[in-house]
This record gives sequence, structure tokens and C-alpha cells, in this order.
Amino acid sequence: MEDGTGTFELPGDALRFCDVTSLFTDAAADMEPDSMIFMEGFTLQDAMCALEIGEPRLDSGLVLEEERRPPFDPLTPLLPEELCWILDRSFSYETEFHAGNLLSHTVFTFLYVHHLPDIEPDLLPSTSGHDPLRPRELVTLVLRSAVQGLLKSCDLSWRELSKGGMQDTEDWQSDKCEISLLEGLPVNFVLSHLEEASTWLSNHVQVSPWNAALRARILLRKTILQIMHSDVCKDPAHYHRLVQVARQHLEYIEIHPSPEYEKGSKPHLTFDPYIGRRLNTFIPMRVIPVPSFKQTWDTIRRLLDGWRELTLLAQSNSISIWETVGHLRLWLSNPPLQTPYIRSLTQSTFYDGLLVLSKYSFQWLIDRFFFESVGMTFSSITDSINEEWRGEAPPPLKKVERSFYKLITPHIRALWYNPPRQRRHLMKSLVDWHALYDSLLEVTDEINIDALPQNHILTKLPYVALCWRLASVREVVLSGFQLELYVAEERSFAYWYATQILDVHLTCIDNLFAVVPKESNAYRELTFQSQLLTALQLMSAALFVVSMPLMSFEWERIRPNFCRRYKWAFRPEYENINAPVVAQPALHEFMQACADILEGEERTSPAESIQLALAILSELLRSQSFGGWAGYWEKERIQFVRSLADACANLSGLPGSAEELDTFNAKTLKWDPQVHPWFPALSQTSASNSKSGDVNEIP
Amino acid sequence: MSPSSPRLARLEGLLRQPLRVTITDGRILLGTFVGTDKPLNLVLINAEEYRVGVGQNGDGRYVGQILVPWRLVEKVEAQEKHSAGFVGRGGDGGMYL
Repeated sequence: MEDGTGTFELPGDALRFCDVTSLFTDAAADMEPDSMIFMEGFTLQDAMCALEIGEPRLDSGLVLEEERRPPFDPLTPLLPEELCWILDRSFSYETEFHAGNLLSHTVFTFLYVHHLPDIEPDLLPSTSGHDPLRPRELVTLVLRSAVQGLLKSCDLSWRELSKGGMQDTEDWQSDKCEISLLEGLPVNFVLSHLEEASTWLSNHVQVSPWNAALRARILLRKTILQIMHSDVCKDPAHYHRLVQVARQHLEYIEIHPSPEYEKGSKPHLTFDPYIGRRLNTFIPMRVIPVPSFKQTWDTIRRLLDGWRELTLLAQSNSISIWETVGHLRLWLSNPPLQTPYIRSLTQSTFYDGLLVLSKYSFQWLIDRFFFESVGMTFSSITDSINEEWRGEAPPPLKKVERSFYKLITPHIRALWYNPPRQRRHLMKSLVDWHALYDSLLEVTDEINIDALPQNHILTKLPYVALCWRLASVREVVLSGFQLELYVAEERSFAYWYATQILDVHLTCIDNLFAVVPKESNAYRELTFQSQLLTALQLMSAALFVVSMPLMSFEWERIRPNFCRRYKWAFRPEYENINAPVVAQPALHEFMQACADILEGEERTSPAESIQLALAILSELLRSQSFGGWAGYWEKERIQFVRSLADACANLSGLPGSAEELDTFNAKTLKWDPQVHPWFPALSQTSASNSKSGDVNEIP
Repeated sequence: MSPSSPRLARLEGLLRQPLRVTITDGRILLGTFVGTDKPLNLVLINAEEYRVGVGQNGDGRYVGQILVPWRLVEKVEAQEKHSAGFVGRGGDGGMYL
């Protein structure tokens, strides 16, 4: 708005304004107290909706005295080390955007983002004075390319995040405040600028020892942008190489950290945490604490880990491996949940809306589902069905296929939702899994099962869908502990219900053992699952008993709570399906189970159950057989089994007899999802009384 | 309310007209004047906020309906009328920014 003479054109000058301040003061003197003047149709109530200027809670544009800063000149010459610090800080803010913060509170606080046209070298007049330590190219070439790279990275992240897998305002914040993320600029154009900056720095490396460190930062930005711009499915090897290159640059940066600068110094003033006051946004101002550079590099390393894992997943060609990895990422507290960008990218890599892993059709997906579940493809199963079909109408295979289309890709993608969303998705999908189970029952009803050999797949076909459904029900119930949903009174029921689900699931697995080829990965997986679920069942059974005292036993109070918590199990859609729902939560059965224990009719020893569970888990760890579909993630599966064994060890002090149960204080059970997602530990006071000699050592 | 003095009538004539209000922290608020009271709290609608000066982005920021307390007001400006006085209520000069 500067007119070139040092004065500034005022907004609305074209309307030829003149001062009327005195008119207002004069008129006010003539007004009656409490009187008001309003435009026709405008009322006092309308006026009350106005935002009050000068009120800090309402006026987002109010700049307080302590927030005042000197005017920003984007062309201020900079030393290379100052630029290193500035770029590091811009990486810090970028990681905060990926952590779910607003652009206006993070990336947009970098003032050069708003001044890119001012540092465009082609538009700048030549300068006579030249400081060899602070060449202008550092700003117009190096810094400019870094800012463009940052904005383009944010643009690509924004595009990925807005694909629908992540929830706006829940996982991430989409508000761009009408600031350009260089949406119209081709990525290759920005990459060429970064390359140009890198070349300039390598040609001037003798000017300052910091030029090499600065170049590493530029190259890290360039490589990150290249990774974001690449398709992992098209060329996983190239993608992997890029991730490796980025790691090397990151290591170099960590070895050459930027110097520290005082608050209020030139590098610090290139960021304005209060920039939101000047941007088009209605979201209240918030100053984000900036992570340290060490934390920033750790976050970027985790981003690189996410890309590396994606490379491995993209090459795995197995939906069970995808499922295993998705679960492990939720169940293991270390590493923590990936950023929304990586989770969204993982979802898009699995299914882009057209093909699975960018190359496979749905037919492949169904074939893999059966191959990985029971060791044979759907095509071979449909051949058998057509051969054995006795019904008058053709077998309802299309219906089965449609159910699969509806279920599998959303099921895998949902594993990368945030945990509450994932739980919600599983709850909703249970009806569809039941419908699929019903369709498979319909198929087998019209087949003379008795005429088939006992180990024929068609004799057990519905169990395949049932296994997946029961795994989902189990996850819904146990994730309630991880998300800290249950109050003390609900825990006993949740564990009891888990034992019921696991019981049916183990029966299904036992049935499938008979039909799955023994040398197949599917068989190995079933063996692993069988052992794991047995241990889980024993642990849940023990916890059901010991957490009973946390209940009030006021059934009238428990019942409405139960109906609310398990409403997903009683959806009206179930009534449209013929087959009875398997493993429904039943409060009356739970009440009976509690009564049996309290009356001493059911002999129970929580300590023995935990001991047995630990023995099974220890055997799993010793045998080193971690299923057929763990792939590269076997170590993480070991970590998961070990965490369960640790949970058993933490519960070794549980009562072993009815007498001990009577004196057991259930309040010593402490649930902490950071220690274990599903099971509590006994607090120290109780643990000191434990009989540690009674339990097996963890290998 | 019917105006009881010529000065009040002139103030009423400013209703529905664009006002440019400069406030003490340097911001300029440009919006349509819709009402005020005796303490001179100014209500503007469709308002935009501007900051003028070195290093400031001169583009306006839409702030919608605002109330500007008189204690913050440095200057109020209204559109100059071609003839003497100001465009009155119901005149054809009413506009929203």
C-alpha cells in the first residue's frame, strides 16, 4: 500500500473520506441517557452479537503491548548460521502442524511465508553495497527456495490429509487463512529452486563453514518434498532410497546443530507467534510452545520411519500383514501413533479408491482374504460351491462378494484412524460382518455337507467370516480399556464378556484347523492366534473375578449403563438377518456367573489363570513361532507378546483361593494404558504381598 | 426515535454509510455504520480490519460485525458528500462494503 513516496495509501481512499469525529461527540451530547440510534431493521439484540474491539477474548486482531515487534524487513541480510537456525525453527513449526495444530499457529508464523514476492530476485533492484559474509543470495535464493519447499510440503500434506481418511478439526486442522501454500506451483519447479540453492551453496562452501550445514538443510527439504511427491507403489526401491538419503541429511544436521540465539534477536524476529491476529481466521489466538531442535529431528525421524514402514507394507501384498501392522501400531505404546499425514498416506496406499496397492482388483482382495484365512483362494472355493450346490436358484455368491467389497478395504483403512474413530468404525461394521456370516451360512445350507469329507472347506466356510467378526468384537471391548472408557463398575463385565467372545473365537479356530492345509501360513497363523487368544482368555477370566468387588451389584443401575455401553450389539439391523447373532453381550448370564462365584459354585483361582496364561505366553516366546502373517513385523509381535507376559507378571499377586479372594482389595488394581492397553497392574502395596515364586519367569 | 436536534439528525444521516474508524493501536476499521449509543459505542457491520505501515500486509481482514468503544477511537471518517451535509437515511447512497 506504499505509494512510493514513503506515505501509505489508506483503505477506502477512493471513497473520499472526511473527518466526522466531532459530529459524533456533538451528537452524543444531545442524546438522552440510555438512548440509542440504530439503522432501520437493526435492533439492540443484533448489536449484542457484535465482537467487541479491544476486548482480548473477542478481538483476535488486538495486539497487546508485550506483543509489539519492530517492522519486519524480509531483505535484511543474514549470516548462513542465522539462516540454519531459521530453517531449523521452520522445521519445528512444520512438525507442530503435523501434530494437529493450525497453520496460523505454526507454519504461518514464519514471516517469510507472507513475503515471498518481496524476496523474488528478478524483481529486486541491484545493490551497490555487498557484505561478503551476508550475500543477498542467502535470502533471495537459499531462503526463498526453503520457504517454497516448506509451503509445497505443507500443500502436499494438506492434499493428502483432505482425502477423507483423517477428520478435519479432530486429527488435523485444514484452515489455510486464505494464505497460499503455492498450490499452483508445480513440485518440480520448487525442486529445481532447491537444487539451484544447493548448487549455489556448494559453489560457495569456502565462504563460510556453515554453508555445508545449510546445504544439508536444503537437501533435507528437497528430499522430503521428493518423497511426498513419489508414489510408493510405483517404485518402492526408489522411495526407499529417498528415505535413506533423507536420513543421511538428517544425521548431518544433527551433527551440525545451529547456534542458539537470544530471544529478540534477528533470527527470532523472523517468526511471529501472533501472526494469527493479522490473518483471516476466526480461531482464537494461541501461542504454540516450539519443540526443541532435538525433539524436531526426532519427530522427523519418526516421519521417515513412517515412510519406511509404508515402503515395506506396499511390498507385502498381504491383507493379513496390513491388519497385523495396523493392530500393532494401536496396541504398542512404543512407537507412538504416527502423525495423521502418515496414517492418511498409509490408507491411500492400501486403497486409492480404484485399486488395492495401486495394482490389484477386488477379486484379488477376496482371493487373498480366503487364502490368508484358510489357505485357499475364493476362486477355488466358488468352484467347489458350484460343484456341490443343490439349490434351485444359483448360489448367492454375488451377495457374498458385495459384502466383502463393503467390508475389507474400509476395515484395513480404519486401522489407521485415530483410536476412538477406529473403535467406532468396528462397532458399525459388526452388522455387516454378521450379514456376511449369514450369507455364507445360506451358501452352505444348500450344500449336502454330510456327503463331503470332514476336512472339506465348505463344511466350515461360515467360520471364516465369524472369526473376523469376533476379532472385531474383541477389539471393541478391549479398546474400551485402552481409551479409558469404562468406569470401575463396568470393568468386570467387560472382562467377562471378553472371555465369552474369546471362547467362541477359539471354537471357530479349532473348527478351521481341520480344513486348513497344515503347511500353509494360514495354519501357522491360526496356531499362533489359538495360543494368544487362550492366554488372553485366561487373563480376562482372572480379571473378571478380581474386579467384581468394583461393582455396586445394584442391577437397576448397572442395566441402563450396560444398554448404553453395548448399544452397538443391539442395533435394529440385526433383526433383518436370519442367523442368530453370535456372542452377544448378555447381562443376565453375567449376573448368573457372578452369583455362581459368590455362592462358591464356581471354583476359581485368578492366580492360577494368570500363571497358566504366563506359561502359554512364555512358551510362545520360547518357540519363536509368531504366526504366518507377521512379515517384517515379527519383532513387534514379540514385543506385544512380551508386553502381555509383563502384564501377567504384574498380576502375579492376585488371590489364589476363595479365602484370599474374600480379603482381596480390588482397589489395588491400577489401569494405565501406557503400562498395558487392556490389563491393570497391582499397585506396589499389594505387589509386596505377591507370591512371585509361584509364577514362571519371562524368557 | 425521532431526532430532537440537528446534530442528532446529522448523525442519523450517517447510518448505512461506510465509516473509516482509526483506533489507538493503529488499526483502521472500515465498515457500514449501523448504530451507536450515548457513550458512542460504534456498531459496524461487514467490517474489515487494516494495518498500515512498514512490514504490514495491506490486505484487509474481514471481521464482520464489530462494536468499537469510543475510548479506543482516534478518528472517525465518513464519506464526503458532493454537496453540503451528508447523505441522509433512505437516500440512494446507502451501501454495504
